[in-house]
Amino acid sequence: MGKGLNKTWLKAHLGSLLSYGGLVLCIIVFSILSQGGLWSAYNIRILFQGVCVYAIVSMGAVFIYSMGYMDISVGAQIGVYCLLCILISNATGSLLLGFLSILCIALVCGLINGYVAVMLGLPSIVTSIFLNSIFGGVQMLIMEWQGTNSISIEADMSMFKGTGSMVAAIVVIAAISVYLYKFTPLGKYVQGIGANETATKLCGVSTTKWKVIAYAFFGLCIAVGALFLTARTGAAGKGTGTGYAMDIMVALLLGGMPLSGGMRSKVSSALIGSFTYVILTNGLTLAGVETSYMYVIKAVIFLAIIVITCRKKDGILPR
Amino acid sequence: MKLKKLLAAALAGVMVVGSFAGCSNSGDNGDDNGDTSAAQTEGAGGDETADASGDGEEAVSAEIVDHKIGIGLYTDSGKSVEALKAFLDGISETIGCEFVYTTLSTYDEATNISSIQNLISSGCEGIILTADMGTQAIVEECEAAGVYMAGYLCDYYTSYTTAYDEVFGNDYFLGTVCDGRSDNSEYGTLVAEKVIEGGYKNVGVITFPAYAYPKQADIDAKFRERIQEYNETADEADQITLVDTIELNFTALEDTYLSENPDLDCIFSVAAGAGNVYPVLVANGKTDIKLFTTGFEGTDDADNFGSKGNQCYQGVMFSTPEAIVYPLCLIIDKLNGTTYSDLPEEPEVTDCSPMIVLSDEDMDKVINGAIYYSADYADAFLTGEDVVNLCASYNPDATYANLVDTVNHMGVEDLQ
Amino acid sequence: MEEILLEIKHMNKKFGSIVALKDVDLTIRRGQIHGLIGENGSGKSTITSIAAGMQQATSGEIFYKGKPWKPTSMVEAQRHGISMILQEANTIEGCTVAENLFAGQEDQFSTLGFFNTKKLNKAADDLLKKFGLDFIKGKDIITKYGFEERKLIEIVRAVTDETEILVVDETSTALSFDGRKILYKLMDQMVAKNKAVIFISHDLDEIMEHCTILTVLRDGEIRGEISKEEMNQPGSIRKIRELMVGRDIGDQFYRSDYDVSHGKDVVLEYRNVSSNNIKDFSLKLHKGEIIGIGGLSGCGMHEIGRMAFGLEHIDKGSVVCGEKAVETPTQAVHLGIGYISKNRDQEALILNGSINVNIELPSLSSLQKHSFVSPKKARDLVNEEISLMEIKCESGNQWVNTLSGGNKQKVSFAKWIAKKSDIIIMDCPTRGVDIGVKQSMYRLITDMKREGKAILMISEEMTELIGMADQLLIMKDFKVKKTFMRSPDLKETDIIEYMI
Repeated sequence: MGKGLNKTWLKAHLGSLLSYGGLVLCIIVFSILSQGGLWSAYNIRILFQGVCVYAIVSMGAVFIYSMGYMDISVGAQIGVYCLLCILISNATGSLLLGFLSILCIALVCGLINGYVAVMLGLPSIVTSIFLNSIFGGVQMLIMEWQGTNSISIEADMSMFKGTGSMVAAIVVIAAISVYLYKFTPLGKYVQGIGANETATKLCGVSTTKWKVIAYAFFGLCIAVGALFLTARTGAAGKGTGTGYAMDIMVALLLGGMPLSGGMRSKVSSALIGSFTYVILTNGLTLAGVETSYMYVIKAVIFLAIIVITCRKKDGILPR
Repeated sequence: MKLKKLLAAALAGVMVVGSFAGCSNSGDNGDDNGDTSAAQTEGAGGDETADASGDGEEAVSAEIVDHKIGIGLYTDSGKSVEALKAFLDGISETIGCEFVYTTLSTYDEATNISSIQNLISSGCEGIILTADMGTQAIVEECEAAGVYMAGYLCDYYTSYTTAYDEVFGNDYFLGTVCDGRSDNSEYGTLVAEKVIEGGYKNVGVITFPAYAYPKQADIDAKFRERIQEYNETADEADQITLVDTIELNFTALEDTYLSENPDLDCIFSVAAGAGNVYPVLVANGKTDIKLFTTGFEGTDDADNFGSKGNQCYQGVMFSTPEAIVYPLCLIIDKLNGTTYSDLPEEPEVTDCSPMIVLSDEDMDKVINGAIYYSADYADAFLTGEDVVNLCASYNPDATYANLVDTVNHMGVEDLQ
Repeated sequence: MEEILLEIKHMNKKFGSIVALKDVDLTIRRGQIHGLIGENGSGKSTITSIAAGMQQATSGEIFYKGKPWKPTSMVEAQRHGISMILQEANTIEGCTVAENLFAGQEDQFSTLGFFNTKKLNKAADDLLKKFGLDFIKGKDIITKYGFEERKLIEIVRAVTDETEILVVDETSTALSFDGRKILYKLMDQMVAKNKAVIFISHDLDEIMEHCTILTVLRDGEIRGEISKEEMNQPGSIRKIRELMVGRDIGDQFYRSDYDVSHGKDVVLEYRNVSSNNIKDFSLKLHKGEIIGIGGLSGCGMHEIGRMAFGLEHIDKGSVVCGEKAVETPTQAVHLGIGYISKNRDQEALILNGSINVNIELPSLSSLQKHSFVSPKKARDLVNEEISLMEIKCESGNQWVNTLSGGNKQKVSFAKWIAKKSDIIIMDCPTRGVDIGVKQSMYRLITDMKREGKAILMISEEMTELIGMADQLLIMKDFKVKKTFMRSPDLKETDIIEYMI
């Protein structure tokens, strides 16, 4: 009987075990290969710094991916937010003002992403492609207008730069995300939308409203992520943020998030995934792997995780 | 399904373990690659490597201190990377340095900082970077970690103009050596001479956007100045028409440029032309247009240069990898605690001699004797021993002036 | 006795720790329509799916035409003459009808490597005609057809000249009157050709009418075999029900009272509603009243239910609940309306989700306090419903797609009971549900009426409407043809003429 229970338990939690397993395996393997270098105080510090932005943004993205949606505009959004945050705070001398303005824009974009898609009956990916182009263009225009390759921030951001504040930010956002996901209707609703939108709608859930709320929270996370990114780099340019959309997606997948969304989605996917993703690069460097091999190894690990976590019946690809 | 999953897991496991097995070998990858490149070149190359390290040991063996240096490159492939790796592999044993490489992003600051942090975490004591992207934060990171940083193939213009105090004022930033000269406008004049000499009548100029490469405009200006000068004295029939300069936004040249300017017989692409312009000429069957450009891939541009192949390429400019000894020696000395008596107080942006190739003869020299083309350590301007002797900490007579002078004697004229 | 076609001996099947089949012996003979009946999870489908190669038995033997039989796939079984028509939709979306019919046999329709679509479509049309399905055209994209037509297409695909045993698994629930007739005709043809049919159904009447022999299963064991003669004896239905449920469930199946009284308050009112084909529909539903709407699938009765939940576009008039017009499902739920969709798996349930989620989802908005939902409260609510509705499950965390059809339906009931909705619209509430569950649901609906809830019951099963409704509307061609009041004398035969 005990054995039987064990088996069903294993079956039910296989997905989460695998995603934890990926992280644990990475940690063990790289601990050995880096001869403990992974655990040096310096390395722990840079791991958290590296994880910070990914973790914050991907926790917001969990709400979107739960609905079975994708967002590819996040990279360009981060880029523009970083630039605007720097420009506004340089012009006004107030970092707060800079942050608040990007927060406002982020929330408006959430509205566009959620609401316009429903109004026009477009798949969310289409609006996100549209936003991606707009933001990419804006970023380019700002840089041409500035006439330089990169703008530095004048305000003192040391407050956000320390590892402590980054860890604190991850913890705070994680706490908010978990609260929203587990203890408010939002979490159940976004999962419901991902698993069966019609059935969720027929439960009396105003899917449009909750989509907008989910996107708004995502926007908040992007804005916070952009703030910490600015703090970390102290500058932004025409390419800032490029690749983040893909990075976030990969991180979530590594964390065991099904791209089709639904009830298997978890906030922990964002954290586990971000750490796995960052440790992968960090560990491979510590282990002295040549850059040219890194791509291949990363690709294979990525593919393996997809094959393992992909359940044929549920489908992992977005609708 | 279960079987499939198991297979996938097993495959991943094998790949991971396999790659690590490969890595642990290449833990001392410097030597490994050194051996292969030496083996490839056989004969002279192999011997010289051996000699060099032998001599080095004899002269300064007791004092050589081992260091680990991280090198961030803006690209991870191509001739320039191969040549640089060949050179560093060749000298690594003699100067006691292990080199690790990482690929930098040319657009995302955060990626670069993470890459540098990973290098520092893996034990690098010095960092050499080829891109000025997020430099301020990187320098701060280096300072915090007690790691020295210097530039190579990069003039750090953005940092120089926008964050001089933070970057150049930091004790852990040691200076940089440019890709050629900080003021490369001389190339504009030289190309103009060739254009006049070649009798081309319709010339277009292409640059990268000014915000990214502000100094390309200077080359363009010098070029125009010389052509103008010529036009004033020349007969009406011999005058050269210059098409307005266009900017390439890091993409290939538009086909329409060629159809809008059907009479072009020559293009001066200050923007790297091998990737962005030449393929477009080929695709449009317009390789009869002569191309002067910067950068050198050592492939099509070598095969079709001057009087060879389709004769499209007439001029290229690039810098040789040995210039890396400038940041390298500065870092080694700092790490060893000895500095040149004549070291300037503030870190400098230093020139190195560009390889300007404008004739068949020059191209032959490059092909036959430049490490940039052959990726053969034997072709390098400097041996490991030479590099050791450039460091103040290993050679009391070494001077900063000598170091600067060395990187300024690496032009085509210096090739045998 | 006729020749034995398929013989199953001592078959056992385990799913982990759950025993699905216990030492089952079954013999299928030529020229028989062999009925399998039993409650959900009794193992009917497990037996046939093993015989048809969908899964393997844990132990036991099968002999097919006298030889040991161990198919590894449905394709293999079909090639050897065992075909199966499943409960779930099984057609390939995005292909034409013809392509669906001849999937896997494309070679026949290529000439010199070129695919001959015309030939394919012609062959498909001929085949469809043979089955009396002229209204389906081979060249059409499959999605053009509804669920029922697709089911018929599947039937046509499954049955070939080589088919020796046809397994019909709960197929008839998806079919309308006409569709069923086609299916029954096909079954009779099989018998006429001295072949065999295994017929699995919930509908006892249907089984009794068509089967020549009947096997009753409960909890994975054979409980009895009943011959045609026994079936024809009086009281046989009660005996079969007892075998299925394991206890005498008595005659008390539907509502026993004939009390048609109800509250005075009108809780839901259709005021001259027009929507698509339905014109000028009016109806008043009172507190504590059960109104039944019956008719054939496609008569417009499903749309009536959907309108009251804001799911249909209303052209004229309005559906009013508490003086407010219902326009969206969100509004409807807020006004206390619950809707149990006919398309259970697509619209009523999140199959890839736990029982917890499914039951608590409509209630979250009322459970929250300043947007905080206490997980304990939610869990208590669900557990209360699980025990009230007697949903068979390990815990509320179990996924709904692992439940049997009856338990799934209980979940879709439970969510509205948990939400304490006052008006419940149920569209085919007992579809695909076995007798035991049906009985408890009828009891539940009776209790709901007693509690003062208003119920709109839409069904294709006339017997349950007669058995449950205070007022019964019969619809045909989008119009109400006749209204009956509850009466012990009302018979199915009285109604049928208004439907067809």
